[in-house]
Amino acid sequence: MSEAAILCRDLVKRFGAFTAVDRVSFEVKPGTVFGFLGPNGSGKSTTIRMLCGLLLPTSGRAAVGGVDVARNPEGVKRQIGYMSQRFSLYQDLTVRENLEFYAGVYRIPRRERQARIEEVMTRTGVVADAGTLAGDMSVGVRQRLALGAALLHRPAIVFLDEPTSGVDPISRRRFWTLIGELSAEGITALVTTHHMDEAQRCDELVLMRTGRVVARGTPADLIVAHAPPVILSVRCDRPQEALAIVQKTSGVRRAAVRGVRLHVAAEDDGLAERLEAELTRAGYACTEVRHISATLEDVFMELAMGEAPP
Amino acid sequence: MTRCRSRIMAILRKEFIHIRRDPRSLLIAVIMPVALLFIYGYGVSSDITDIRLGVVDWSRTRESRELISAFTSSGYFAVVLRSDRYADMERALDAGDIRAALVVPAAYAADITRKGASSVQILLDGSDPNTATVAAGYAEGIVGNRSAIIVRERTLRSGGARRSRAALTPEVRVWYNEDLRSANFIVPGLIAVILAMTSALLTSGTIAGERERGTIEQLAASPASAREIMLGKIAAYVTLAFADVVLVVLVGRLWFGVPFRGSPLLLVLSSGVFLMAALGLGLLFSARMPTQQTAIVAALMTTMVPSILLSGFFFPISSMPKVVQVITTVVPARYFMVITRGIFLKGIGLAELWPPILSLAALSVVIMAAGIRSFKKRV
Repeated sequence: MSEAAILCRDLVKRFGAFTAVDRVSFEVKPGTVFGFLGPNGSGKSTTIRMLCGLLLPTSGRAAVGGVDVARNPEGVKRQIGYMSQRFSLYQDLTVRENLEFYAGVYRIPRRERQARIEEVMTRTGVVADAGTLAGDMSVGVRQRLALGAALLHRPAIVFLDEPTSGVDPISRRRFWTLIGELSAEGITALVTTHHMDEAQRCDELVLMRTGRVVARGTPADLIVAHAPPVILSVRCDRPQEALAIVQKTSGVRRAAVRGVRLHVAAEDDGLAERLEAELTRAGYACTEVRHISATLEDVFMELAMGEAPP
Repeated sequence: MTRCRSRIMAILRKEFIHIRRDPRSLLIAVIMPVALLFIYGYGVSSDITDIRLGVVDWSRTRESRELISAFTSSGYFAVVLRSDRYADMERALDAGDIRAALVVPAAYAADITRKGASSVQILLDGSDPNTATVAAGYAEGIVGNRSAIIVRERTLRSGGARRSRAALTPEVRVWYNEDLRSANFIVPGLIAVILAMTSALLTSGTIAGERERGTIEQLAASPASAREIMLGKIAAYVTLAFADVVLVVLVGRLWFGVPFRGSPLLLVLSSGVFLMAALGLGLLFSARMPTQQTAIVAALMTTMVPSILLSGFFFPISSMPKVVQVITTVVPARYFMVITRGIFLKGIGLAELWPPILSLAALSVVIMAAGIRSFKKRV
C-alpha cells in the first residue's frame, strides 16, 4: 500500500440485490485534490462512506493512509477528516461549542484545545460567528464550520462529500481556496461535486455511473479521451422549439438550450451545414453555427448520459 | 482511562447544552413531574379482593374459628399466614407478605360467654391506603355482622328481648400511614412513575434524533466508540433524573407532608439502579426505532404505562389476574415501588428490602446491557 493516500481495489458494496458500488478501483496520490464526479445515486457517497470506515465493503479492498478500512475502520477514523453531504454538526450548538465538542471527541489535549479551535476558526473564517448557533448561519458559513471541525485533529486525508451543494458562488470560491491551501500543506482531499468549475480545479478525477468508474484522469485527459468529437453552438430563432428539430437531426448526440443558444454535441464535422439546412427548412432562422471547444461538462454529459458501461 | 473519560465528558457536556437549549426537555424534566405530583396526589380508589390476611388466634375456640371463617368466606380476605406470635404479623406486614392481620385475644370466647362482649384487633398496612381503607371497611363490616349473630343467638337462648348492645368491637390499627392519606401512598410511588417517564422521554429521542438530524453521521465518522457515546448520554440523563428524584422528594415532603422515615442514601442508590433500567429502555428504543417520534411512543408504552398500571402504583398486584401478575415480574417499577414505599413510609432498610433491590438490579443490568449494545456505529 506504499505511497498512495487512498487505494481502492475492486471495491464492492451491495445492499440486498442492489449493487451500489461495483468493482471500483482507483488511487489517490498524497497531497492532491481528487475529484469524484457522477450523477446522484452513482455510488459516490457509498464509496466515500466505505473509505471512512462507516460502511463495511461487501468485497474488495481499500486502504486509507495505509490502514485497511474493513479490518480497522476505527484506525481509519482516527486519521481522517470527514464532511458528510448533509450538515451534520449540531444546529443547537454554537460554532465554538461544536468545535469544543469535536475537540473532546478527538481527544485533543486540553492545553492545546483552545489554540487549535482558534486556529481552525481563523482559517475557515468563522471567528466572527463563534457565538452563533450553527442553525442560524448561512449554508456557506455552515459548510466552512463543518470543514473546520473535520480539520481540528489535523488529519492527513479529508473526505468532503458535496461540500458546496447549495452554496452561493462566492462562498464556493472561498471554499475551494481553502481546499487549495490544504493541498499545498500536503493534505490529501477527496471531494465530490456537481460543479464542473470545481472539477476543473482537481488534480485528478474519477467519474462514476451506476456504481462503476467510467472514466478517470486529469481534467485535460478526460476532455481528450471522452469529449464528443464536435461541439457546436447554434444561434437561432425560438431555440426552445428548435431544440426538437435539432435532437432529431442525424449525427446529433445530445442538444440542450443554453440561454439564447443551443449547445449541440455531434458525431462529425459535416453536421454544421446539415443542421443549418434542417433548421432553415423548418422555419427557424439560423444566425450562427460555431465550433467551440469541449469542456468537462461535455465529458460529464457524454459519460453520464451515454450508453451504459459494460 | 482518563483519556476515555474525556471523550465521555465531551458527550455529556454536549447533551447538557441540548437539554438547556430545548424548552421541551425542561418541560419534561421539571414541569411534568410537578404536574403529575399534583394530579395523582389526590388518590384513586379501586375494588379490592383477596386481601392477604394474617391470623393470630390465641383463643382457639369454636367462637374464634367462626369469626375467622367469616373473614375468609366473605371473599375479601385470604388467610395466608397463621401464627401464635404477634411478632410474625409485624414481620409479615413489614415484608408486605400480608396487608392485614386479625388478632383474636385468648379471652375471646370466655368474654363473649360471660360478659357478652369482646374485642378483636385488626392491623392494616396503611402504606397502601386504598387497600387499607377498603380492608378496614370490610373488616368492620364482617366483625359487625358476627357481632349481630352473637347478639341474636344470645337473645334466642335467653328467650326474649334483653339488651341489644354490640357483642364485638373491632380495634382497627393502621400501621405506617396512620391517617390513610393517599398522598403518602402516591408520592413515593410517583417517584418510580416520574423517573420511568422522564428517562423514557428524554433518552428515547437522543439517538433517533441524532439520526434524524444527520448528526450521527459525523459522530460515527469520529473515533468515539458506540459505548463512549452511549455512556456519555447516559451520564447526562442520570444527572437530570437524580435532580428529579430530589424535586419529587422535596415537593412530596414540603407540599404534601409525606413522611420520609428511611434512609435517603438507600433511596438514592436504589433510584440509581432503577434509572439504569429506565434509561436503558429509552436508549434501546432510541437506537432501534427509525424516527424520534416512534422511539418516544415505544418508550412511553414500555416504561410509563407499565409503571403506572402494572407496578402496584394504583392497583394491587395481588388482585390482578395470574397472567398479568407474571408479566409484572419484568416491570422494573414494580420492585422500585415496593422500595420507595418501604423507605418513605415504613422506614425499612436493606435488611427487609434486599429481595426487591436484587430483582431490580438483575433486571436493570440486563436492560442496560441491551440498551448499550443496541447502538451500532455503522449508519
